[in-house]
Amino acid sequence: MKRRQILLGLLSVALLPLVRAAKTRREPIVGLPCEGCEAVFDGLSGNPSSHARIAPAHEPGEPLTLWGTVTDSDGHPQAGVIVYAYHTDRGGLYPPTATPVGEAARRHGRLRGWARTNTRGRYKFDTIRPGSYPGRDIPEHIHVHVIEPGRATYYIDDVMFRDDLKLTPRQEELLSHGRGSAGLATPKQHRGRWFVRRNIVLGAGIAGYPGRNPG
Amino acid sequence: MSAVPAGERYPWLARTLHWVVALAIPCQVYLGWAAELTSNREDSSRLIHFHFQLGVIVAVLMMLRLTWRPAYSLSGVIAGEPLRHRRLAAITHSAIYGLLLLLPASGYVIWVWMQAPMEVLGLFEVPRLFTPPEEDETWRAIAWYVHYWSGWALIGLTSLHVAAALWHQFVRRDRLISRRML
Repeated sequence: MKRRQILLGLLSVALLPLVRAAKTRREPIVGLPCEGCEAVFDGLSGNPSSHARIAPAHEPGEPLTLWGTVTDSDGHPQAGVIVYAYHTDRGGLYPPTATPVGEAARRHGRLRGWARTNTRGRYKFDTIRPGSYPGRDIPEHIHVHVIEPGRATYYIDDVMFRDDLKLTPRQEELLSHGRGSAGLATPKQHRGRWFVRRNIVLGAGIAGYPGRNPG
Repeated sequence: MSAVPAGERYPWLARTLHWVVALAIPCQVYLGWAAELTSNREDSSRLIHFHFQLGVIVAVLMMLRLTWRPAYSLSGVIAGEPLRHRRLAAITHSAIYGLLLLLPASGYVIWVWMQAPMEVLGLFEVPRLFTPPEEDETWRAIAWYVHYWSGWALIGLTSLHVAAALWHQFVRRDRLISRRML
């Protein structure tokens, strides 16, 4: 029995580097420059659901559901893609998080979350409508990143709202690059909740995107 | 057709419409500006919805003015006014009329694009005459620039209009405002 325990202990020590490697294995960041893109992994655990929550239920603000379909460039829905989103609170600030995280993730605040697309390529976040930065001309927006397991991670165009008065043509020009397809969305209100659809086309407009192997 | 002699008081409907629109213009400027500058989204939405509703009312009043105006021959001529002043006044008045139609029209395009509520004072809904395309923002951008610069042009021209009227009333002392518009 004692011998068995010693053997198991030795095996664990031998396997430790592999376990560490698996834990720290991260998809390469493409679509550079991308300041703080490493934050997408900070706090990501296990297997996120396709329906996730960003803001807690008691968060002040107008409830909002952000949803969409993730497809490849041919329009085929893609399952298992992780969508990471973060945004400001109602007052337009990134509220500090109590969870110990790295510097990059700290800047994203506590209103952040991950959803993994289901078999139909769908993802959904329940949250609140973000406020625009106080005293600035920047429109309301939700930052979105994509993690394609085993392939790459990159940020895509922010979700912006067509009914936002701060969304002038100039701002739209500055903020729209077609990364992951257009981020501009028309929010629709139903029973006191905003519904915003943001479809994502993998790799669209992303420099250095590895692409899919033929066949 | 009833003709109004030069320099005489305009009919009450013309005077009423003039002053109501004159009051609405600074309100509209304030509402539009405040809505854009307010950080709180709910307050901003409320302000811009007032702006939309007042804009619809101004559009209706302006159409009423245009429809009704040919029924009277309103002479803008002031006795003894130099020709260049008359021309400047005519151009300014026409431009103000044009802008007061262009502003609601461009505002309407933006509003439909925003898919914002079309209800006015809880009384009726303005119909949506088109469906904005999903991925082409060209016309929204054009309407936005038209609305924005027309707003500034209107501020400039109405300031000129007010300054000229005050000049008549108080510098030239021909009592133009009190004689014609009150």
